[in-house]
This record gives sequence, C-alpha cells and structure tokens, in this order.
Amino acid sequence: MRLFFSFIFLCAPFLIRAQYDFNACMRQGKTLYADAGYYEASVMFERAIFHASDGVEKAEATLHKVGCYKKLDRFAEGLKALDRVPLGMITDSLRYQVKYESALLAYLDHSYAIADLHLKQLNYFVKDKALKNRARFLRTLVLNGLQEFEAARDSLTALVRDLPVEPAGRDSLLAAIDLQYHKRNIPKLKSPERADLYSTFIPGAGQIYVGRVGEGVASFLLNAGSLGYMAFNVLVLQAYVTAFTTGSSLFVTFYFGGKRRATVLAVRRNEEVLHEFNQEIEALVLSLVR
Amino acid sequence: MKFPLLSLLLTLTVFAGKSQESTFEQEMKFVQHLEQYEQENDALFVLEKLHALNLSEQERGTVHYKQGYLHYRLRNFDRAAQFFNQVNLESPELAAAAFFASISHCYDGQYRAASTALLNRKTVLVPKHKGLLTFQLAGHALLRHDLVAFDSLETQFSANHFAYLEQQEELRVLRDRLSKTKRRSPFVAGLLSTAVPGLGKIYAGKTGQGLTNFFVSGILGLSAYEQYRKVGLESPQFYIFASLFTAFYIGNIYGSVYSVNVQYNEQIEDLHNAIVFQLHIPVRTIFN
Repeated sequence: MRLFFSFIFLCAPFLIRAQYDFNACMRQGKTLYADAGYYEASVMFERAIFHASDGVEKAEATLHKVGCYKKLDRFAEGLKALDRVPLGMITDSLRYQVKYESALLAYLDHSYAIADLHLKQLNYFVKDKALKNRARFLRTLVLNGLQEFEAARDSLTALVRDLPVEPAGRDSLLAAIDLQYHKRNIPKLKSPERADLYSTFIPGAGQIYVGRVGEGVASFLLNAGSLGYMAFNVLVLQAYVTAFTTGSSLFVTFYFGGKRRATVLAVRRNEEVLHEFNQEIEALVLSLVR
Repeated sequence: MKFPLLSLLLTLTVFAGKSQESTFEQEMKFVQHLEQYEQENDALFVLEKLHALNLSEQERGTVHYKQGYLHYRLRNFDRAAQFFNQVNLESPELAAAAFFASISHCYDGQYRAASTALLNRKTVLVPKHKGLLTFQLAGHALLRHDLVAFDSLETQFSANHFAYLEQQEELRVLRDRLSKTKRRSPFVAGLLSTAVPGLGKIYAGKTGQGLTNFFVSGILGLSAYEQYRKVGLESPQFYIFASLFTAFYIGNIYGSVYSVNVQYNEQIEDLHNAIVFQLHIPVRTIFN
C-alpha cells in the first residue's frame, strides 16, 4: 500500500504538469489575444493543440486559433486548421462550432461552394435542431454568393418568420426582403459568351450589350476606320502592299481586341453588380442578427 | 527507513533533471509538430525564442540547424546559409549543416562561399564524407567556370558511392557542354542586322525574333516605297512608314547587339541550374 501511494505521489507532478501545459497555453493565448497580439496568440493556441489530450481540447484550442486567423485575415489557413479537428471525437455543440466557422471562413474567402459544403456537413453531423437553425443566417449569405437568389430569399423568409418579434415588425421585415429580392432588383447578369458573339458579327455590339455604349461606338469606328483605310489604299491609291499588310493588321488587332474586351467587360460588370447586391443583402442579414 | 528515503530522493532528482531537459526536447517536438503541419514561419518564430533559454552548445547548434533547414525549405537561401554556418563544432548536425550551407550558397549564386562553407569544416567531413566533399568542390569549380580545377578534382571521384555515382557522370557531361558554350560577337551580330534586318538575332540564337524583325521591317519598308511610288513625297503615309521603318531598323541593330549577351547569359544560367540540381540530389539523399 505504501509503495502504491509513493508511486502515485511520484507520478502526480507529471500528470499535473501535462494538464497545466494545455490550460496554461490556453490562458496565455487568451491574454495575448486580448492584448491584440493575434499572431503570438495563434502560435500559443497551436501549442495548446499540441498538448491537448483529447479531441475536445483540440477542438477548443483550434477554434481559438481560428479566431486569431480571422483577425489576421488568414481565412484559408484557418480552414486548414479546422480540417484537423477530429469531428467524431467531440460534442455536438463543438461540432456545430467547427463546421460553422469552416463555412464562415470559406464565405469570407469568397469560396461559396466550399462554404455551402460545410453547411451541408453541419446539417448532417449536428443533431441538435436549435444549433442547425442558428446557421441559417450564414446559409442565406452563402446562397446569395452562389447566385441562388430564390433559395436565398426562401431561407431568409423562413428565418424572419421564426424570429421572436412583434407581428408588425415581422411584416415590415418580410416586406423589406420582398423588396430586396424583387425581380427588378435581382442582378441581371450579362453572358460573356453572348457579348463575344455580338462582337463577332458587329464590332462594338458586345460592349453596347454590356452597357458600355461609348466604348462600343469607339470600337465600331476603329474597325470601320481600318476597313476604310484598306479600301482607300486599294481603290484610290492602288497601294496593295499597304492595304493588305498594314490595313489588315490594324483591322485584325481592333476586331479581335474588341471581342476580348467585350468578354472582359461582361465578366467585370457581373462581378460589380453581384458585389453591390450581396452587400445590400449582407447589411439586411446583419441587422437581423443584431 | 534510509533506503526508501534515498530512493525517493534519487527518483525526484531524476525527474527534476528530466524536466529541465524536457523543456528543450518538448520545444523541439513542438517545432516538429509545426513543421508537420507546414507552419514553417511559426516554427521559426518558436526557434527564435529558444535562444533566450540557457542552452548547451549542442542544443544551440541543433536550433541553428533547424532554423537553417526551415529557411532552406522556404527557399530563403541567404538566411538558410547564415544559420547553417552558425552550427557549432559540438553539434551532431555539423556535417549536414556544412553541406546544406554550401547548397544554399549555390542557389544564391555565391559559389566561392559554397566552397568555403565546406573547406572550413574539412576536418569534420573527412574521411566519412570525403567522396561527397570532392564531388561538391568539383561542382563549385564548374560553377566558377574553372575547368582546370574541375578536371583535377574529377580524377578523385568516388567509383562506388550509390548516392552520387550518376551525378558524377552528369557533371562530366555538363563540363563538356560548358566548354562548348561560346559567347558570340556583338559586333558581328550588329553588322549582320545592318545588312539584313533580323539576321543578327538569328546569329545570336533568337531565330523567332529574327524572323519577326525581318518581316516587320520588310513590310514597313515596302509600304514606304509603295507610297513613294504611287503618291510621291507629298504622301503623309510615306513619311509615317519611312519613320516607322527607320525606327525598327535601328532598333533591330541595337537589339541584335544586346541579344548576343542575353542569349549567352540564358545558356549559362541553364547550365548553372543543371549543375546545382546535380549537387543537390546526393545531399538530400544522404542527409534526409
């Protein structure tokens, strides 16, 4: 018996030391975070992960580390860190947090498809319905990012119906959603392939289709000008070398350059209108969260 | 009574000693953990802080080696060489540090420093790594274009070490390629382009550019001539094409003169990259 207790006494420092390492790292990490030392805090939380004795401690330390990465705008690295958490060895609420943070980081990194995947996994892995409902705000933003506006509107509407607010307040929120997602407000995207096709038959038509009328007219005039230059040299001056070398080079440059420019303008315009629309939706959703 | 007390004291002493030792070992295990998850910058951050601890010379050497190796992995060769060269004589990683330092210097274009990094530790490297040392020094001689030194070292190449047998043969082939690489004459290139636009570039080895210059200059010249024949000196197009032709023609001559050096430098750079690659392989194989 005496030997047994001596053995426990001698082992205790080691056991206490091991537990102290994880907790001490977490404490120091939180202190560094509070002092805005986000990089140092992220390393300290990684140290906590290293000393973690089970999946729960690993998940807790990783979530804190991800908080540091969010402050440092290192979203992709945060996602990588969360991939290391053993989902099968943690509680439902931790699983929710891990998947929610993964979806959020992917959204902040503009990887909407990956964010959607994490939200789907959240639905699959997390059993608690109350927790699942909390992710609906993020789901709306992700659906918007994926340009699934109908589904985003439905998700937001369902969310508002479940909010604990006065009926009058709820009605005005629903009206705001309807207004935001009205047919007139939903971005009408321009097809880059169509812009290219229009410019193939009429130089400058692709730019006008995208909404850049001035550029379209300029492109048309440049193409017409180079053809006119060729015609002038052939018909008036009979300078065939000039016409077919310089004239045709100019025409080919303006023609294919114009087609490429129409495609680029279409892509850029789509990005701008989507960004503007998503910002409005984000503001609406954040006001609901508050 | 005395015996259990003595055992207890002995055990506690061992644990106390182990806990001091384990701080450094634990930190190195943590660094390994960071490396495993590709967080090299964080590992460097932790290693930098380790220097504040009361480390033995051997432990300090290990830290310097680790810092060098992480910078090497991040391709910061200048910093890698700095840390490798700080690894002290007591360190068990001294031989690896010497060879990695020389490779880092090679990637940084510092070929004499690469040889110095090895020769400074010759007493430690010989006899265990004599063959590898000779091979590396021969490679450095080749990088400095010192073919006499290379030929002298080449006679001492090892005939049976698996790690660099093939690389020794490759180095001999590269030596032949280097001896055949000659710098062309800028004067001849300029002269050829004066006679025929683009010919100087073809002489320098830039055939595509030479043909482009020839056609563009030809089209501009012909267009200028055509405008002169059809309209005469009153034609504004004549002046436009003649000016463009003149600019291209003169530009083509200048371009040919400089392209000789550019082409030579590109060939030498390719050869240097191939040599350093061959020097690198056995170091990674032996000290992985």
